[in-house]
Amino acid sequence: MFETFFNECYSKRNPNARLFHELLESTSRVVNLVEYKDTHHSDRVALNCLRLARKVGISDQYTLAQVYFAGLLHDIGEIGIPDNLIYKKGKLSEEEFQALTTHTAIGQQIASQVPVLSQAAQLILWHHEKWDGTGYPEGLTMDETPMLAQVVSLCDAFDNIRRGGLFSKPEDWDKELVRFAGIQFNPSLVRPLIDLTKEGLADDTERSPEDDEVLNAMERQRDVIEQLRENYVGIIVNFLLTLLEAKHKDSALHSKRVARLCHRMGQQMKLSEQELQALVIAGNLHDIGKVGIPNSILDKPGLLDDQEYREVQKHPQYASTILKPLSGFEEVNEAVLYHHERWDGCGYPEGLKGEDIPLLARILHLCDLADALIHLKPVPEHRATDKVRYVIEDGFGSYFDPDLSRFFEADASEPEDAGDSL
Amino acid sequence: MHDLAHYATFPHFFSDTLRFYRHTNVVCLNTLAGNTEQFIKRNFRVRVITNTVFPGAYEYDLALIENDRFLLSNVDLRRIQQLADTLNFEASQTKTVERNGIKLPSGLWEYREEIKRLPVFDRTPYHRATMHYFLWQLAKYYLLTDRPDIPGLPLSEAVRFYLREVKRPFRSNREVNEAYRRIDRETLGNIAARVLIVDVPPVSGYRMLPPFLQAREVMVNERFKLSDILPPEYFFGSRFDSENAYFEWMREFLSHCQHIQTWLLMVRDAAIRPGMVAMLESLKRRSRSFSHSIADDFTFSYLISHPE
Ligand SMILES: [Fe+2]
Ligand SMILES: [Fe+2]
Ligand SMILES: [Fe+2]
Repeated sequence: MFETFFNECYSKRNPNARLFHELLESTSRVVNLVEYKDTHHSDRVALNCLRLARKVGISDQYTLAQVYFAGLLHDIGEIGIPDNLIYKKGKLSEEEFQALTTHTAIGQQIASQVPVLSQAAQLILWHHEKWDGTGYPEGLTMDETPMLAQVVSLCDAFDNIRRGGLFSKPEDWDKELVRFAGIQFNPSLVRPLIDLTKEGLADDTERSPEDDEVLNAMERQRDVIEQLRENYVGIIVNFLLTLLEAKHKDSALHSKRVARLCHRMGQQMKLSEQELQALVIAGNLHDIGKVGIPNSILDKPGLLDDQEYREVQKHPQYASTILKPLSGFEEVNEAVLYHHERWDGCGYPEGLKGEDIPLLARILHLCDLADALIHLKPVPEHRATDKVRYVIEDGFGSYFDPDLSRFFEADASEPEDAGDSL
Repeated sequence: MHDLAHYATFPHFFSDTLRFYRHTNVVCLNTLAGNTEQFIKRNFRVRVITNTVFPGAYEYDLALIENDRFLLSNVDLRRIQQLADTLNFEASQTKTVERNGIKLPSGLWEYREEIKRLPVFDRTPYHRATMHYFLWQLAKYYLLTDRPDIPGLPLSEAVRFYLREVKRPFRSNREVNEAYRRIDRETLGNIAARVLIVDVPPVSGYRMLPPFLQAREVMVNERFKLSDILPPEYFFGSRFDSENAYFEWMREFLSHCQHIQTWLLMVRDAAIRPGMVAMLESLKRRSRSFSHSIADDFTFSYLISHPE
């Protein structure tokens, strides 16, 4: 998938790109964007996981990298849970608790989109298992939970203890850890973690050279790199789209449709294969920045107030933040960043005008709006091609590049769920 | 084979299959009883019917699968706590006593005796099952007193914690579930179910239980013996002399479940998978096999089998 794009933008232009690190950096930005309430919880958990695993004798770099990623992504599944549930104070009802437990399986789903993270994905699934067998999702007891998942679960809980506020002194953290040894945690992991805190190694968000070495080793491991090279772009698009789907299904469906519209229009315009693929990728990812916007805004039925509107308008920048580390994605990133710029200069984020707006962004803007109109909710009575064409045509010269009108055909006849073809 | 491979189950992997079946019956033949039934009860709108042969396993199912509510009243809870306060011990100072392979603080054994004398213990089978479940939680907790660096809580505190905690696993899936111990073939044949889940242990059967499951049985019956409950060639988990004998027995047993459309068979031993598939073919069933790597040396595998 996207081979021409990969060949041009990576193999030729950036032959020395560190694919694994680009993926890591992008992922880490996604995590921090999604984690809007707390700062760097996942970063700390990731590092603690890596260091604790090393402390208890795991030396295989590949395994350590999996634990690190599992720590980083452990709560990514929360993206699919309404925020009012995640941060609810007090007792949860049975239904609410059940809904919350699904974040482990959702997280596993998301992480498993990246083949080189398959082991990490499993660890994510089990990060709420408890030593005494009362955890979820499986209810595994003691050693039934794989040891590395126990590491993730302990480091997650430890960070929650530390930032709980009640236990401000390190001695109190230790007491809490010891108290739940044998209940929630594997007792034999607790002492090593306490030792880590004593050595001052358990509250970092910055990787040490030794930590970096683990990730560098992945960059050198042949099968990892081969797996990445085989379908790098496809993996990233899939990963991010799965993420968006978990967050807000309609946005993901919309993105896939926009990608198809873009593809058709790009063909009409006889774009080069590389440009065409970049356009399709941009179509798929143009709204990925919405992962940083609360569902309460995305799903709001009526009009948005000014503040909410400003929040929504941040999504192109958020997307750009996520895509920035991917060295081959420059054009894609540009198209995404500027997909709400208008021909007349009244768009956002920068108010670019006319041909200052990159071509791909202009096409994307048109396809984005066309699809939004066709699938407007509630469905308008005359959801016909004509009407969309009428509205869109009105926009050439103000919203859209007038030159594009020759290539545009509003086709509302496309079935609503036309499959997942990327 | 990895130790865990003999008993650990990862029911999460069945989710995709089970999602198709709403408001139906699921039969679980799981000798050891544990997380599979609980997982299904919690996550799917189905009625769970379980069968096991171990008394402790049966009590577990009775408490958490068949029963929906935590039955102990506040008065009961206070009585149980009082008892713990009276018999309190410090985990670091008490001496441990081993009974039937389970090493626990002597004070906990005493506590267990006293608990069994409380009137609430005999009120209904469900009360008894609940109390056993509670004792099992404590036993699991103190099973670990071997580690001198983290001694564990004093009894009264552990009891206080688990009296609060033990209510949580009791939950309804809005269906009436049933737990059997040694279901007979005729009853099995009469259950209108759509899914059958079987835990298929190795041909050599269970030779010993992992400590935490042994503890569950010992809490129910101190003199529990695996060989009494699972004589050779008797049930899933028994020792069979040959693969042939094993499959023959299983074939006969499963022939009473032919009316159940989907079978999920956790196959613990990769070596017998081909034999399983052949046996299922002789029952006119087609099977697909699935494997999930859990740890480096452990793969969780199962077959999904349908009538041809
Ligand atoms: Fe979590
Ligand atoms: Fe957008
Ligand atoms: Fe959009």
